Amino acid sequence: MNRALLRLSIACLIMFGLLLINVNYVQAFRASGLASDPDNTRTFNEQFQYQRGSILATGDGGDTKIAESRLTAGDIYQRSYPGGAAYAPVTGYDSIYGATGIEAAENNELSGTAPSLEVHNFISLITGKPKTGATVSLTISPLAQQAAYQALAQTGRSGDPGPGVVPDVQPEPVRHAERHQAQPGRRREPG
Amino acid sequence: MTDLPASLAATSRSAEPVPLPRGRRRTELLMLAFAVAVVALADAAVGFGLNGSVPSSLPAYIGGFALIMLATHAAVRWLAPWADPLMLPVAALLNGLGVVMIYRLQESGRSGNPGNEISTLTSSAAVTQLVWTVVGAAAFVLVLFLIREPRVLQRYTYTLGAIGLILLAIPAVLPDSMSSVQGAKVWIILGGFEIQPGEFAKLAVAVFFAGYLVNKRDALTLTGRRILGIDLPRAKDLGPVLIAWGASLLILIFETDIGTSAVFFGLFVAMIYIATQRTSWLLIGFLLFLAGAWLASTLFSHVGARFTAWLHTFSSANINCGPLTAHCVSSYQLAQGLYGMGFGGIFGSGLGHGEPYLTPLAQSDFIVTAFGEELGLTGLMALLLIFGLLVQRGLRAAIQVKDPFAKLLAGGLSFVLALQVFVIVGGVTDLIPLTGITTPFLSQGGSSLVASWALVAVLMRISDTARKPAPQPIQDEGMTQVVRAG
Repeated sequence: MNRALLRLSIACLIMFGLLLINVNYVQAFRASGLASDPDNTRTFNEQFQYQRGSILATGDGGDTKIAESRLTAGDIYQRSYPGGAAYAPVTGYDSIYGATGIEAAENNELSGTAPSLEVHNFISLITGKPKTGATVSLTISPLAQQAAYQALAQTGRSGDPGPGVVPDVQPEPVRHAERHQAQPGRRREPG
Repeated sequence: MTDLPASLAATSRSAEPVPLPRGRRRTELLMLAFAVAVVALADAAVGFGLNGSVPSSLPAYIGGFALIMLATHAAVRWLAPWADPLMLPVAALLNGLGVVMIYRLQESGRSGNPGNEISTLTSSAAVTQLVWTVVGAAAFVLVLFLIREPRVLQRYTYTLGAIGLILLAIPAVLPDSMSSVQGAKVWIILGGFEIQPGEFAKLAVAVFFAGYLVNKRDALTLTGRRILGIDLPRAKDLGPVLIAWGASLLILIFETDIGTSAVFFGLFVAMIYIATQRTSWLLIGFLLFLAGAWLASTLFSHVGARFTAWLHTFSSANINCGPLTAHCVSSYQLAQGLYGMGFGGIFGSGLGHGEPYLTPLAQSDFIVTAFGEELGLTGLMALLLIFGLLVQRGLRAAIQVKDPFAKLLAGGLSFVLALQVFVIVGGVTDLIPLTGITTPFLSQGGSSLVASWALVAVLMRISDTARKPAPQPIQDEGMTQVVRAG
């Protein structure tokens, strides 16, 4: 009966081999796809657990924060845009509906998942520092941006064009970024 | 048994002590200490992950767990001193990690910890599981105590076969209120107490198959015709296979449980193959199973719906289909488990840092995805290898032991363990259609835990028989004396 037992052992080996290959497929190859799936509430909830990087406007030599994450009362980090509407076409927003502008373009840096940050993240992991995103500095001049915004506002269009009006300095319709900012919570209840 | 020839050579009328093959109980104790240490660290990690401090319950939980395991080790020293030294530590590690994960899930959203509260899990679930661990360890010792030799079981072949069938059939004949939990009619519910008789039936039926096949193997092996290069058995020898197939199909129909029926049928086919070594049985078994599965999926909507949920896990129609919708099995749970595993990635979020509570029933059917999320691919592969190790030690005992009944039983039990892990882990990781069966040692629930401990006890008894040195001849018999008659 030993020959049959050996063959059965091989069958067991194959079963465990299949399981191992499959978990590798799920957790290594498909992992980023599953993690970034818009329906995956875990990834969405996670961004309230760490400090997303700030966006700075450094064109005039100073560091003007135009987007930052602050710890709020509920022990979660919330995105805010101190520059308000003037910078909205630049920063874009980060929300449950996705991200736009710099928030989208530099998402890897801001969320701390860029490959260039791996060494830094690893050191943080070992030293027990909490995970944070990287700061993104833009060469935008706050003075010029404010001037452009105010000039536009004085034309009476208040930076918020109606349908069909597309201002040339601020290419996208300006919405208050805060209005779209992400709210924590679950997006779908179990069915 | 490599040192056996040496010990035989040494017996030739020399007075020096005979070197005995080692029982390796000290190795077992060391590995057991290691297992308990891993469990203790995991428990501490859960506390750090949840609220930054070691759980206050750790000394009591881990101390209790260590005591239970020490007691089983002492029992092994007394009752099965030659048994395989790795089985007990592996079982202890799996059991302990299961309790830790249940503790982690129970704590989420409670007493100020992050996460949502799991409504299907009480705040004392980990303690209950520890109590079941005590019962499991007691069953382990009891089996070792009552069954001093595998042959003892052979005497009860038909008794145990009948008990197994009755245990399997009870939930089918009980009214739904006493046997059905979340659609699976595999329970006996008596006064708040829930027992899954199928877990114990598995052991009884394995003993029955082993006893039956040892008696019939000659008829099954030697007779029959050869058609197209395959040895086909006689029609009348097909009877028991057809009965086993029919019984597993009946479980499928009346208890709506594909997982259990697949495990039972797989057990039977594997054991008949070990007994006869004829590939035709595997072929017949496989074809019968495919036919049964096809028949079931076309006849019963709930079986077919499982296939749909497996093939189109992320389609919103499947995810959103609620329990009220007929002909549809929600893949919400499966999708959540996979999201968790993807979120965990290679290294995992760390114990207490993930959100495994988002997956419904993460404490029982989906406990493996909870491990995948928090310990990552690395931890999950380690966990699977630990299961593989237990299966391998069991199969090794089967190959070592000489008695054909014990050989069959050990082979069957090891295979059924592997099959059960394959069916549930494959199910929750989207490899095969999901069927809700328990994960041995890990899942919350007493029946499965106690049955798993009993299974390991039987394997250890067989391994003890296999590794026990042959009885030593009496050392100094003196000269043979010739007695003159008359």
